[in-house]
Amino acid sequence: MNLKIIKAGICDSIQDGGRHGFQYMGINPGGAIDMFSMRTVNLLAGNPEYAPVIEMSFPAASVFFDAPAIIAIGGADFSATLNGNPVPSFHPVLIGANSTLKFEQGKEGRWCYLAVNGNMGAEKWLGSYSTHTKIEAGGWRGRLLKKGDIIPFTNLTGVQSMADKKHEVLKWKAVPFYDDALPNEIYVLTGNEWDYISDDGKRIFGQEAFSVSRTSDRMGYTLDGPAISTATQCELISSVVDYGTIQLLPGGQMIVLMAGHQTTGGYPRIAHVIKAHRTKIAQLKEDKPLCFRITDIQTAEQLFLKQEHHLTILKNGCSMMWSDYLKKQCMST
Amino acid sequence: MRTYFPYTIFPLGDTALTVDFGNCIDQDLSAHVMGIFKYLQSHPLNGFIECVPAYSSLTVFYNPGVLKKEIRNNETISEIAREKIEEILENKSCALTSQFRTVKVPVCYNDALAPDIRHITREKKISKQELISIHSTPEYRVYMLGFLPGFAYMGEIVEKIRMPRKPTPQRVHAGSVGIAGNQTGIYPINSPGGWHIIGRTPIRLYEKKDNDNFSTFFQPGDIVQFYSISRDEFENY
Repeated sequence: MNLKIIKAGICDSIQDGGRHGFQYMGINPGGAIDMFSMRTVNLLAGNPEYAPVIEMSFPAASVFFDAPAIIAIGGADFSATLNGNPVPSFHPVLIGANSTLKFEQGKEGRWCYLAVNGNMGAEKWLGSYSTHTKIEAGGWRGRLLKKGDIIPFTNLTGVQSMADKKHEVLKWKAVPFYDDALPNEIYVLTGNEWDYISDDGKRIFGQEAFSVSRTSDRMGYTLDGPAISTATQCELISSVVDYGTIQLLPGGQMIVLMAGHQTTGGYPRIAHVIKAHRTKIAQLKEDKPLCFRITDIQTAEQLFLKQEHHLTILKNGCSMMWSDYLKKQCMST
Repeated sequence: MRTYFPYTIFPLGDTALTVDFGNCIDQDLSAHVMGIFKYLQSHPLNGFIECVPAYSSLTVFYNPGVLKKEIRNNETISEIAREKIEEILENKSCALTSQFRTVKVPVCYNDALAPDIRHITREKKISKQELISIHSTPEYRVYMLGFLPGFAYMGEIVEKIRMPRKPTPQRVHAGSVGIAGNQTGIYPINSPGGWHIIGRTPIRLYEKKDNDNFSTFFQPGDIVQFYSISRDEFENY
């Protein structure tokens, strides 16, 4: 059972929960840039939440399945179709053999995830399937997916096969997670070098709108918008950075470090996007202005725990729905 | 050798804390940071994901979902993580690492492999021979690995040849030896980089043997001695 990349996307790779414990050697954790969407599609497809998935940006790959499969897609909305028929995001979908999954239009968001039930035959490196393109390790041969790649996945158990080129969208779905923030509002905690910024810079940071530039990638999102001025000159010794760290470049431009960030940096860390809002900033496109709102650690932690709770409910729900579904199938055969 | 190092702890967002011993480069301090790092590596704390040593700081990443189970009263998870780290810093004797290896590293300073060398000699009004001698004479200490897999941050560069980082990063070839401020380092792989490139080493900076085996040429704490080699020696290394 294989899935075949019949058309390459521009930046599609295998990702999972990331590679932890090796930053001291300079190996960054990587992993899905929108971990929330990745976990959601995995749970819907009946997988462990941190199983490897295909992460895609637009234009995305076209994927051919030579055998029946259970899949879920979600994250960005790229107008997915199966054999020409639209398929919704965040539902489990049963598909027949010889089906073709395509993504027609980059409607909303930046990163879309494809989870396929069962094990994906990818390479595990240092405990993770995440693709590390620099070392060329992990994921699919340590590189982005190319036309002609044939990725095996394991046999499905218990689910009746769909007819060739047919699919069925199961009725249950994952509901989106909302918090009190406005759609374009990104909560941040101030960083250790916050006071390097001038008062005017602080005002601009908190009141003006910024947008993610076109040159952004998995490593970092550079922001377009007014420059942030510093109050003092600062020459820092390199130290550790994280996903969400907002660095201030010498010209006053900000860069938000994303999942593929380097382990260390020497630019002032003026703020950090809270963990619960990583999914939100990850999905922002160039045409969507964003505003920063400084929050406190209590709020950040509460939002994170709420998001985790949301996923726990989804996890329990999915395991119940899948076991019901399989039981019904057993009875009908 | 000093035995007590004052520190502050600051949050790096809502999932990590940095123990900061001051924005400075100091060999004793580095040995202290490595001592705590080694202690935490061999005594992993519940809820902690990993810790990462840097020049004068150590960052600990934690899993808030695990640590939340330890919340008492109105504490934040960040405070719980902080208390755990403080307890180790105050009560555990994290032995200073004192045994360091010396590694010799060949560098070819040939112009063809050193795109920025002429610019620096002009700027600093020194001959190329002087620059090579100034760069390759001192012993350097590896303070940390970071930026790229196997990239070693070494210090300190003699004042006379210090250069600020380039305003915009440029493409750098694997093995390139760069300098920036008081630091020197070698790019393990082709990468964009903002350091001035003054030579190239033929040494491979990491080995990836199989899927669970990865090793780096440099280890934090190493004492590094560069030596100059010719273009022929570089090609036939």
